[in-house]
Amino acid sequence: MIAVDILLQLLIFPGLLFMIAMVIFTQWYWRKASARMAFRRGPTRTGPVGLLQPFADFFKLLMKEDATSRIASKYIPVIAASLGVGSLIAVLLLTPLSYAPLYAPYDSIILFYFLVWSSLSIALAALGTPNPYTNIGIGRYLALLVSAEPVFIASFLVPIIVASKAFGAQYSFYLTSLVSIDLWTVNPAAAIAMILAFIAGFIGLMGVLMIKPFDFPEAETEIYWGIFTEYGGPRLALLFFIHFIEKIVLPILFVLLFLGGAAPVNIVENYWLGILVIMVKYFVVFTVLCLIDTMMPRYRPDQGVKFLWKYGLTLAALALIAVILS
Amino acid sequence: MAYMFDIFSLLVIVSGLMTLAGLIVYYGLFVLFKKMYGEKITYRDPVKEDIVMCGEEPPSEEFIVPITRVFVDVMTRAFRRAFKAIMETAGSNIVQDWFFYMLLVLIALIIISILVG
Repeated sequence: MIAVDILLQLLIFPGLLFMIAMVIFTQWYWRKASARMAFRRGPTRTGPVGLLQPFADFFKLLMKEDATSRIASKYIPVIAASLGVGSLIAVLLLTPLSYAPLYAPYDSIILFYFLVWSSLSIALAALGTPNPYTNIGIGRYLALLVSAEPVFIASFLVPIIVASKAFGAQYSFYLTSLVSIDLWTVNPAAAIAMILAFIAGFIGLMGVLMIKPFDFPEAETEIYWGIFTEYGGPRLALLFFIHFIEKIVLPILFVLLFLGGAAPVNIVENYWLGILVIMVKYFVVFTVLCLIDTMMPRYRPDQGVKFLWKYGLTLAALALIAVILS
Repeated sequence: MAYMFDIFSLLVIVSGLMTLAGLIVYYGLFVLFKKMYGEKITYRDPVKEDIVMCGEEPPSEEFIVPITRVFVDVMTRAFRRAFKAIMETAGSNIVQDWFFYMLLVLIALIIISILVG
């Protein structure tokens, strides 16, 4: 029974099929919203109101010839990219989005490990195709990861520590997300820590997702898409797939920890209504990210890195200190 | 209904699920579409496999720009004062590998001792 539950969740909801549907919908939404902000119409031709345009683009890439340069690695990038997608999908089984979630004391360590793996898989996949622009992109991407991941993880640890201290959540992501609405009112020190972690977490989220102004690893006008330069066809589709799934999974984790998850609905008692509430909150965060990405210019790599260390990491460290002292 | 495990079992299960999902993506999206469509339109052309920049083929030594140098350059520019201080005190900002590893261990020990009290 456990095996059936796990497999159904991995393959259908909130796993692979759901993610494919979400990638298509969120990409349509992102393109439509950013187009509206720039007084354009966005996708209109394929499907009703252009809803199937990302689907058409994705399958067009998949059906192309798999062309690589003569010094590129043939298999490592594709395997790394596939495992990156796999890690993001497996992580969802540790959240209340699953109808039968898996959890353990200290499972947040596992969650963060697999999240970092998904980001590293993009770098690994890019490393397999040498090109001067790609390598500059990877150097920049690694600098971004070294700066953004500590901010992201340190700030996401704050609610987990608060929940474990106040509600006995045992440093489990699932147990924390069930009580996340109450974390803001535990005590004044915890509230301050949560506010600081909320700001730092959002900055870290933008960094990890390469939302402008932190999109210097791909910088299409400077280094021709950097980490994606050498890719085309099905390989590019896979890399985009990881990148787009990251834009779904990471904001959902942000919602679960900082925006109260399914609250005011109790997701254990009313699963589908809880999922609906989480999705509504997710689309609010997603729209804000889209707004910022459309409006902001790009940082230079050194400016981006400095910003993340100076403001992001300082806020995250202060939040951690506040929560440890609370 | 939630399933509780110990952390080691959960790590093994999640790793297995990640591999399974990865294999499904690899075979279901990449290999299957390659066999159904990609291979039918494949044609051999030596020029297609060349790396070209601005219409010119760059020399082979330029294929691999040292990633670490790009990384260090970004960091140096981001923290000019810190790197300048390191240069002035140490005479170089290139740290010997083993010295660097031991420095990391020392920092980790200091942090652990502060946290544990």
